[in-house]
Amino acid sequence: MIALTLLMTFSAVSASAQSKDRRKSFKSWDNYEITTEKVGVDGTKFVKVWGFGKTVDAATMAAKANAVHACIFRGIPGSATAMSTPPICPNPNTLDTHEDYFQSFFAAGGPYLAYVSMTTDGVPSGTDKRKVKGGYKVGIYVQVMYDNLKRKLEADGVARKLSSGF
Amino acid sequence: MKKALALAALLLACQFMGWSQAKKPTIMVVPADAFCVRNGYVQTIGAMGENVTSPDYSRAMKENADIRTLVSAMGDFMAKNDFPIQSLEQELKRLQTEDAEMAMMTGRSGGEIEETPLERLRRSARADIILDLDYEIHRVGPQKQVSFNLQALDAYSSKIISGNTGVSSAANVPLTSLLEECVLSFKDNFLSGLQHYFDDLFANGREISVTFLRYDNCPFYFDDDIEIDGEDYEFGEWVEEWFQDNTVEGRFTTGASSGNRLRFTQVRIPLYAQNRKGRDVAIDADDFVKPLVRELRKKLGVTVGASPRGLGDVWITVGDK
Amino acid sequence: MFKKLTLLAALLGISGAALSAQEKIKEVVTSDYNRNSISMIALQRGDSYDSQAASAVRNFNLGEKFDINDIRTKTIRIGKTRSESLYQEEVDAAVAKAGLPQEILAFIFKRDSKGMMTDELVRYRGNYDAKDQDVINARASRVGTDALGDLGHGLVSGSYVVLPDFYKIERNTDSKGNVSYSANAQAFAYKIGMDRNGLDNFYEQCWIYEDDDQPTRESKLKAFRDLDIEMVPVATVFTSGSGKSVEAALQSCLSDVIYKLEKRIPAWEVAVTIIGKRPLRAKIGSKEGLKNGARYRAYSYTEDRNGNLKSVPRGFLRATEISSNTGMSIGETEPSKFYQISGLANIDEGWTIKQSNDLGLGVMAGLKVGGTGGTGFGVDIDFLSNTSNVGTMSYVFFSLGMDLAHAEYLPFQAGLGFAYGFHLTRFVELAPYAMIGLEHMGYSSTDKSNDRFTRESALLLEPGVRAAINVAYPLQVVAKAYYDVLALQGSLYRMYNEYVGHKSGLGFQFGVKWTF
Repeated sequence: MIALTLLMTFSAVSASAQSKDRRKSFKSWDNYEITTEKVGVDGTKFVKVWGFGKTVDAATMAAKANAVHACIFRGIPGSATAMSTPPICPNPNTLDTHEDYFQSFFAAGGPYLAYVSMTTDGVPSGTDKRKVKGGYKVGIYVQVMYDNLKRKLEADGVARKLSSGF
Repeated sequence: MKKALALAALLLACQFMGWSQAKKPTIMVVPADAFCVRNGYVQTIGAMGENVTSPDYSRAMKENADIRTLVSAMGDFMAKNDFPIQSLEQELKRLQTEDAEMAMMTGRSGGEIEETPLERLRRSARADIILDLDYEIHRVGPQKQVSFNLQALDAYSSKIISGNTGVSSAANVPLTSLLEECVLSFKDNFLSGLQHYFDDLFANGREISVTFLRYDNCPFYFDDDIEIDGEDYEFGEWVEEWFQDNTVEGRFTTGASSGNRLRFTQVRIPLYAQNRKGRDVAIDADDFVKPLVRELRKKLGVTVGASPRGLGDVWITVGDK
Repeated sequence: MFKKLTLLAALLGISGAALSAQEKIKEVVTSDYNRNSISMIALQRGDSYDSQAASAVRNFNLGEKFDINDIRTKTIRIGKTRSESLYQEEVDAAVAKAGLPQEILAFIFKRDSKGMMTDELVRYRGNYDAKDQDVINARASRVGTDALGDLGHGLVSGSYVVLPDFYKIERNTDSKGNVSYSANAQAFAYKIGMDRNGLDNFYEQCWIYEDDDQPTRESKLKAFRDLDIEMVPVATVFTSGSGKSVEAALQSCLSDVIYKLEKRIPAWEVAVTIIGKRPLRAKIGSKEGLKNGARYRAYSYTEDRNGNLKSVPRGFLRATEISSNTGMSIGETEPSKFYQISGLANIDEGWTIKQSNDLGLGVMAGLKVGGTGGTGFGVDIDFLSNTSNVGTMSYVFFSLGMDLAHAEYLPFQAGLGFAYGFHLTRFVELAPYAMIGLEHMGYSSTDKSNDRFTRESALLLEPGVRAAINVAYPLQVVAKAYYDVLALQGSLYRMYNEYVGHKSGLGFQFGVKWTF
């Protein structure tokens, strides 16, 4: 089930996808699992995130994009010793208003990659690499540069600054 | 894409133009009462023949290095978000120095500075948003674990803006690591609560409460009909009308009302108003009711006084000051 | 009646199938492996062998793989004659009385006479057990690598006690008067019944802080004495051994005990993931007691339509180059290398490999034709002595052959050889070998002279080549081609051979091989 929805979701980042489909699936991009691993070093979020792709590499890239996507739109659930993280853009209309911005932000090799770094040792391994129908599902540990990402979106006028209005 | 950006820029610009005068709320971290009591940072003051125990913030800040770690960690991220935190420690010091200086000041003709207890209260350390911080260090055998509870309180309405509770990792590591982990743990959730609060502030104004009290030399009761501008009104009714006209979108709630007392809560006041010279200035509860007090004096010919009880609460006394 | 029975049988069958299906879902092999700690305690019977049993257990070297909990109790006595084996219940009762959980905790937390404890050893073990991923994760988190030592708390639940018991120790004397001993052994393994919650309770009730007052200390000391933790039996294994002395016999039992327990206690089987191919590499090594030729099994993972995780076995591999990783991890542990020996698919990066002990002992049986002559039956037992990165394998083997066509002369061949196997693919092994042995022919006779055996034998030299093809691992089809050279024939041998007619020549053997 998850695999299926992920498949739908991630056709968004696959280059071969039709532009129209791409647009549609871009908006329904919210089916992935993400959990807070621990409280990260200052300015970062240390999470475990899952991604789906035809190959392990594609799934890994998808997982990285998911991590950034979660920080911007979904927020990250907390764990026993880490509080939850709210989304940078809590307003549900942000994606509609800035669709073009995010299309290019999340394009293959796009700017989002600057805000995520994988901390998995080597390749996704063990139970974190699963063969599923149509490809692979992988779980990776990543650090998202949450504060930098927030500053970037604030600077680009996508997110509001805390001090805006004062 | 370009269109969206332009639109965003326009929106932002509008906001800046519209709200550029809004006063940035001041924020201060204050150790929670429970924390002070638990750690013995309390002082007993004799007030009106009774002994009242109150938190001794000054000692807490001086003697507890952990709380300083927490405050500076919080100060750090708040500064990064353009909201420098007021230092409670410095603020307390300032008060002490002021007290000392005022006691020494004598005028050329030997006059002394006068200050009522109420004035002194107003002068004391105050912020628009109080971050009420409580934490406890638990020992789990050789491991330590910190549990924390941070409440952001709107000092005007005493409402909780954002509440954050949680625990750190359990580990045998330097305590500062665990304390800083706590701060990083609640940071973004806390900021988001603050953002939500500011959004509400901009949209609906600041929330205060206003209480009318009647001195016995007032010629009428609040539920009496009196003549204002040639028409008969119940006093309370006339006041309500004033609030309807002057609050943000006419929002307020009439609380208990009787012949001697009227109370209005959840009164939404604009963040700023024009002063007599026509300049936009940030206002608090006291500033907000000043025009009302003037109007009452003028129209009813009675003595009306306003005494603020904090930033968000004001008492209006009718019949005397 | 019959109907009822069939119905019952059908129901049982269905529920059985359902049960096993459920179990299958549960049994997911993962790459989780953490170091375990062991205390060895010799079981005593109150006889003269007690001291030898105790010293054999004391001197036994567990190797790098396990941490040792050096607890006070070294022996536990069960009064029962050594001619009988012990029952599980007897050992359970003795273990329950011994207060071992307290001793283990006291050792792990370095508890002193005043009841003060420290987490020094726990932190050391935590740091030592930390994998590269743990180190990298720690660096990404605020509390940082300081907290790595705290992983040690999780290792407390991996504390085991192994109690070997020796019985039926026998003294054997052969015809020449050489004395040897044989012994049977049984080993009982128990695990401390303490999970993370139990550990937290222990900290809460028994951990004395510097600033605790006297009554609190007293109550915590009492709580420690009264700790209600049980030792949970996890496995029992049987073995036997022999040696020139009693102690040697007992020692030989012990090394087999650990091998067998590893097969019975899943938590003892090392599991890790493959981090690279050509050659296959995984981050384990001497710290995990990895040895050349050690067999591992690979698993990959799939999800079914309901999102249930399944581990799929994907063939076996053997360790080739062992890395020395006995230091603390700094995130760059040197991997050991492996060679895949079975499985249709190539083992891939990220797959889990799990220890799957075998003896490395191959037994081949088959029919022989040609060679020194006749049609017969041959058995080879080979022992894998080395495996290399490129899949070359060295074997030492013992070969036995019989000529069935001349059974009345009992002609047999026995030899010791060395084979060096090359893998063309992982399914096909080609191994040239050389063997030296003897061929013997015996005829019932009254001749009792000492050199009779020599006179009935001939020296046999056999160069050859062996090809083995995997059918379904560990089953292989084997073919051998060789040239037998008969030399130094004894006088009786020569005489019998007049009738049997063996001579140097080309021979073939076909058979199957199973690796244990």
